[in-house]
Amino acid sequence: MRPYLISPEVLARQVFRYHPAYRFAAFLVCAFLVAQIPFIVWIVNERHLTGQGQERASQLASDAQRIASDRKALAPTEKKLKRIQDLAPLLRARLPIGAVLGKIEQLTPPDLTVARITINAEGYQPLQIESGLFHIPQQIRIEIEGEQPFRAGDPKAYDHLAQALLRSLPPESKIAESNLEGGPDAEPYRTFRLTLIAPTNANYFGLGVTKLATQNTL
Amino acid sequence: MYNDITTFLREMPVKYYLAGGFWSTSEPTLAFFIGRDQIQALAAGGRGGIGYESSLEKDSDAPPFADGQSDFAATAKPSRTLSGKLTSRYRLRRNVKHLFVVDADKKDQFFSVDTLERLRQKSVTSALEEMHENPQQVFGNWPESVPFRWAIVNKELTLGHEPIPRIDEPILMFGLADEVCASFESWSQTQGASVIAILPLPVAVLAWANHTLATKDRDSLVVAATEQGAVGAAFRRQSLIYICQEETVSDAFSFLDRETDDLELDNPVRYLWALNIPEERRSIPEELVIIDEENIQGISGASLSLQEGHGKKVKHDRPLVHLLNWLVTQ
Repeated sequence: MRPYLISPEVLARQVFRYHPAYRFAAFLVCAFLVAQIPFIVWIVNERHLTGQGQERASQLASDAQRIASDRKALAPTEKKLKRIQDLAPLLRARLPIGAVLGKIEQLTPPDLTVARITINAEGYQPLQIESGLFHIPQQIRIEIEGEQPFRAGDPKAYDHLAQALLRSLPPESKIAESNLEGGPDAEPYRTFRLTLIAPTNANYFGLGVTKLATQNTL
Repeated sequence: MYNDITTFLREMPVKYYLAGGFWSTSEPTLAFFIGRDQIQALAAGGRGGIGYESSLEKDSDAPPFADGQSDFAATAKPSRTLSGKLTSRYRLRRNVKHLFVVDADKKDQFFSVDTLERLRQKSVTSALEEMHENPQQVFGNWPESVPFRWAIVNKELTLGHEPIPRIDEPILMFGLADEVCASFESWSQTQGASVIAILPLPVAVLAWANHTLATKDRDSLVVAATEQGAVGAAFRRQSLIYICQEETVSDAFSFLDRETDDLELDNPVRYLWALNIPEERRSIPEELVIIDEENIQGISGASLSLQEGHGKKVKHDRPLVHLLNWLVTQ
């Protein structure tokens, strides 16, 4: 039937429905749109992920801000800790003199008479810390002088003292001098002289120094 | 070119395409009879009528009445369109075409039989343009101020072909108020359907009568009686030569009888196609063939058995139903 009394506008619209060229064009348009679905899904997913990332970033930023404000309150404490940490080389480069003297006392055999013990720090190195310039000794020189009877039971008693003391001192310690002076024609005592050098920055457990508690991680 | 593409992208009927329009344009038809206060519809597939709805005027999504007004225009849009309901009920495809047969008010319709020669036109196209632009020039004392839409059919009232008459051959010119037609187009658009045609009821009846009644070897006078009056037509054999609009059937036959001699008709047979029999039968001339349920089977060749809303098939032999069924096959 012919389209009686239908307006040209409606007829023009209806051409879109029935003309093969328009239907084919519409099919191409729809196919193109369908082909975009994976891309759209990807875009939506990306936007979702970006949104999540931004949300996470803002959360981290607020956390960082909060931590920074908290840390501001801890700044004086940090400063004190920094000073303590700066003092660490000074504290480490110490020889427990009491322990050394105690060990000498323990190890000295009855045949020996210790006349003089001299302990000197040497090998100074400068160390710049906040509070000033310090000189830190790298090693300790221990000098022991005394007498050994000429007719002692053990003629090498002084040497045994040196060896025993060396074992008690930290590793890398060494005997710098070990001699005995005087002969049978002289006095009934012979003078011995021991010189040991020990590093300051080492463990002195051999001297009987024991750890009282776990080291503070600070 | 750019405008064409943008217009296409803006206007393209996506729902129609997605409902199968890409692959097939073979669609069922919903043929509506639009009366003054009643609306009926025939649902038809490729082989003709399938279902019939005899009272759609109460539906909230019903099409406008013949005056272009709708009782339910102000109500909220229903969740499902009337076309959707009908296609679902009769198991038809979702894409549908609408055909409107309108029993319009007398002032909203116009009929005239004339020739291109007397209209001083060379072709149907030029005659239509002239009628659209200047109906006073074509019809002399054209009284209407409202815009009309116009159409021309050939003297055989063949609705399916473009009329290519000789300039001295009669043609039927008919018109319907633009407002009335636009209301149906607008309603169809809301339904997502296309529109096949909008036909005045008398034109549809005369076309059906000329192709169905046994008038091949006889002259005939046919009166189509509707709720809005009666339209009489004179056929010489199967060629329409005269048409008139009257108030009643008897007026129409009286008018045709007076013109019979002038029209040089040879003992014409009288037919009455009536929507309802509006007058007492005694006022109708004798020797008249009334097309009704009793003889429609003999005229159309078969009885119509159509499904109704309740699902059962019911015999439908009222002339209007046969008319709608004939129209959807044209």
